[in-house]
Amino acid sequence: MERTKAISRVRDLLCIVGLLILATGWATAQASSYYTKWINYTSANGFPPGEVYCVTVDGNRVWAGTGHGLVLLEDGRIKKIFTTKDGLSGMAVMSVAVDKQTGAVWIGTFGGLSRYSGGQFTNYTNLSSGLANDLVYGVAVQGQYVWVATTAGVNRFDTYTGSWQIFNESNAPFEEPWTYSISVGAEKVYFAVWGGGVLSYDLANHYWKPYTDPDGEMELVLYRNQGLIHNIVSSVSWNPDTKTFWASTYFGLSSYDGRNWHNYLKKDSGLISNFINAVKSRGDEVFACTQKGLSEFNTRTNTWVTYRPDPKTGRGEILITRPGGNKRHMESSTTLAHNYILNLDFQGDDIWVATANGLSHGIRKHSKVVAIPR
Amino acid sequence: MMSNRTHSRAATLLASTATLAVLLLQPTATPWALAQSKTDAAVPYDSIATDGESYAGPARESAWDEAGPILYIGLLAPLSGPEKADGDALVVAARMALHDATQRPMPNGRRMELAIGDESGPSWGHVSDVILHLVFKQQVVALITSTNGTDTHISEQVGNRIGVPILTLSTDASTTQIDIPWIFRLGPSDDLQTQIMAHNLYRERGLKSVLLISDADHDGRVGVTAMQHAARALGAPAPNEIVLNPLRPDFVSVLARIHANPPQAIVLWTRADIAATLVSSLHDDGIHTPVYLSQQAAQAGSGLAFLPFARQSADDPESVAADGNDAAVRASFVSRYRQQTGSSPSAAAAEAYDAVCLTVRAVRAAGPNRARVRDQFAKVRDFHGISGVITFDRQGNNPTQVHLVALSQQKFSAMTGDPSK
Repeated sequence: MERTKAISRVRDLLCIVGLLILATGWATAQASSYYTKWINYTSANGFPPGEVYCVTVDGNRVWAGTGHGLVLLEDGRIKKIFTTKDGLSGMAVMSVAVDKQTGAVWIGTFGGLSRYSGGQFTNYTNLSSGLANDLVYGVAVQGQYVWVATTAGVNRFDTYTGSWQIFNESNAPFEEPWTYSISVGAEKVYFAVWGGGVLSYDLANHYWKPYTDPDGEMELVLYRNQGLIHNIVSSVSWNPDTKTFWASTYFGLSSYDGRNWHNYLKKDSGLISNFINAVKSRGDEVFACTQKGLSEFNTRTNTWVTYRPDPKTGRGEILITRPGGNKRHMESSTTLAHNYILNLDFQGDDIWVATANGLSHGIRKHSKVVAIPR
Repeated sequence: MMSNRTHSRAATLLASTATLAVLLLQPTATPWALAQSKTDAAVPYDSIATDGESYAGPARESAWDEAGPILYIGLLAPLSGPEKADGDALVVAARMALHDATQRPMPNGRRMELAIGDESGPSWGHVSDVILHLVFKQQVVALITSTNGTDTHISEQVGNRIGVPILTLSTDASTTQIDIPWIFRLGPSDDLQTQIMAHNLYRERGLKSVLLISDADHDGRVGVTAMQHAARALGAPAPNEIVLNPLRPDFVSVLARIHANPPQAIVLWTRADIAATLVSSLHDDGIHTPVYLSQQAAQAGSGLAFLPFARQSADDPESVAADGNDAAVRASFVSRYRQQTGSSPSAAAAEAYDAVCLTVRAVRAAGPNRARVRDQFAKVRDFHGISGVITFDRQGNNPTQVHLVALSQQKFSAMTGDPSK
């Protein structure tokens, strides 16, 4: 009897070891796939100069919001640059959302909200519509509704009836009304609020829920996984695959899966900078758009990879941080247009990255990269 | 007078007080919380002060330089409505500064001018459009914001996205508690003001019953929070509160409440025009309770405006000044300001003067480039301005200016306000 038990234990142990080996090997294979090919769109090849504030992928089309208008790329080529002369509500374009049902493109600018459809712009401003404010930071489409993040609260525009609804501190739990970004989930819409943390709006039951920094201190993080890391939230991204929302702040990265919070700071992760302009997540991937490079976190392998240009060589740096803090440094021949990252979107396995000096198209390849000893 | 060294000492002690406040804000003493507090609560997991970030973005290259023969400095100020006096004071001081600072020609034959935006009224839509106009149409090289905390937040949100340095007169501490590298505050924050007020109220005077009157707006709310923290940090009872609707303040009810339950001191965290009416009403009603005003409440519209420690007149025994050069410059400013306006400059007006001088100085050093001007602001240390000595710390605060000044029988005098005493 004892002998049978012992054999059973040994068998179980071997199974576990085997599974661990398989898992490690698979994880290594996954993690060794990096964005090593970058195609950049800058003033050198006809793209508007300076900052790209947002990027939105729509099939083979890519919309990029810049300080000099809205750029449309098709199949990797610049097709048109829309400006206020074409009817756009403002030159500085902060956000773009595409209505998959109608094909209409909604554009949030510093000058109001624009709708582009059938080759025509329709503009909505504070004076001409129910738009809460002309400083529009975010826009998102949810069914028949268009949600708009403005500096004076959130709008919900009903495209069927043309009616506007405004949510601010008077009718929702906004600590402050300054709203920076929107992410739409199946059941809730999430909002990043400057000074007010993250707010969610339950679509079925029509109620708001705030998620705020529990220590109440702006300059401190009292405990590591205390809750939201800071109340000034720059962006939010709902991941439908993991049922988790991610919130970026200028003081680190937070995630909440409905039960647990996890916070990530530069000092205890592979995050390259705590100053994060935007976050985007899908599957096991989380991309933090920081002011010192693009940090990618794989939640399954617990591995961080940061992409940034090496200012000395102009080549690409790939910094890998594995669990336990084991770091590796690699190099690629092409790299991001700039290390200051503002936004990102997915196109299949590729990514499009908005930087402070142009737009970058990243292609994930299993190609050979050179390991550089540090 | 508090010497510069005294200022520094006060600031250090106040920082210690802030830490104590954090410790007092421990979670409810559940077993889990107690366990954590024993292990790591004494040291926060992280803080902006120790792990902050500086600006790593672009725009320092010449391609980002502002073009044209005229460079604009943006100024947001209320130019109509109940705060008009406050706004006019800022404009007068800013114009004087521009005149003084550009006596020597600017590099490359450029001229500098003020681009003034009217932020009057509660309409945020209007203010946003004014900010956009200054940033995009006037291409201001830097934007100076008034004491209005809401408008300052909106400005810094735009500044952070577009890359525009902001010099603010707002005392709202949260504007610089974000790790945004684009904003710098010239005066003392609400936190510093309330800490020094609370020390004077509760420690030096030993008072127990303090009434805090605030506006029902952003600035009032953050001021009240700061005052509550400051009282709690000293173990003092929380002040009683009256919140006024700034659009329709009910002064009669306020006076009735004060008569019914007389406080030992009153703190006003309101707009300056509301403070003026309250102070006048209290006087008329025979209430002689000491009244404390925040810097925002003591602006030009209060009718009590003054520049702390500035020479009021040549033979004014109460006036205090720093070294000889500073004294002469301040005296000149105060004298010319009085000639133009007929009244003494407020602390905010003095800060507006300094903000323009700092911007001209930064442009001289860095050229017409917003990011490089920002870098120059970040380097400001021991700048002897009209409002006092200005040093920007890593977060953009100016921690050296902590003054508590008393006005009694038309004479200003320094109160100790020093937690070390």
